[in-house]
Amino acid sequence: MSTPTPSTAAALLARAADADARVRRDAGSQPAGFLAVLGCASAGLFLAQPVADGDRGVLAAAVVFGAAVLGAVLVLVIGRRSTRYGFSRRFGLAMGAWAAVFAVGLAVGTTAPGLAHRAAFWVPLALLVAVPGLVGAWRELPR
Amino acid sequence: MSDPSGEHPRHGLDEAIHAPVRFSVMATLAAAEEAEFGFVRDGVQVSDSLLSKTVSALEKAGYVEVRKGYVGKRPRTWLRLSNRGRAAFAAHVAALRTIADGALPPVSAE
Repeated sequence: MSTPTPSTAAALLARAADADARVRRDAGSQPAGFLAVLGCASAGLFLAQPVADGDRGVLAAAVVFGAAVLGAVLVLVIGRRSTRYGFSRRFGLAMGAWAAVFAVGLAVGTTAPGLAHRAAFWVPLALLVAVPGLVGAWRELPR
Repeated sequence: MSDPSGEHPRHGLDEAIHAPVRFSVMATLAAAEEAEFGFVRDGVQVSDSLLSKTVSALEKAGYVEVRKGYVGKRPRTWLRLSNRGRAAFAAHVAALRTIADGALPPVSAE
């Protein structure tokens, strides 16, 4: 094994930095898109609760939510060619926080008496449920 | 930054990583949690067969893990660094950095 000269070593380090930049560029867009769609769709679903006109309105909002998330999942799974180092941990954190807010909020909002159409409950919750997805998306954005 | 042991930093270089293509593959995988075979091939700019050989050598060294799967009906091969590979690459890069900085131990006159 030949010992690299300082300039050869610097060139190798530059190549490693290029590889790192390429992974960052490629790997971030699909996860960021998925998390942003998840956050916004969840907020939309919650915002629809106080304004929905009966069960059909709620069902329509749920269908839109499901379609948006399903589309984002397909893009995430099919389009992904690489994931940035540490992605699973960051993604797990974002999904865990989103799932907790979503599940608790939905359970409380649909079961507690008088909350089903109360905007004062659903609007702050909509903002809250969007946060994990949007923060996660920001962290995954290609840089 | 000089090596306190006085040992030449080349001793920190890893022979299994030193070859240019192997180094590029390791550098790509070090930045990634997991990368698809085609993504690595395109980045390193090598043929499928050369990348396969390189990955096999790195897998044999215990540095790379290979996972085969499907997206729909399309087969895909995913590559990732093992913990051992990640540590070896970090040590190799540290040695390169020392060499690039030109902070080599003084040559003794014998």
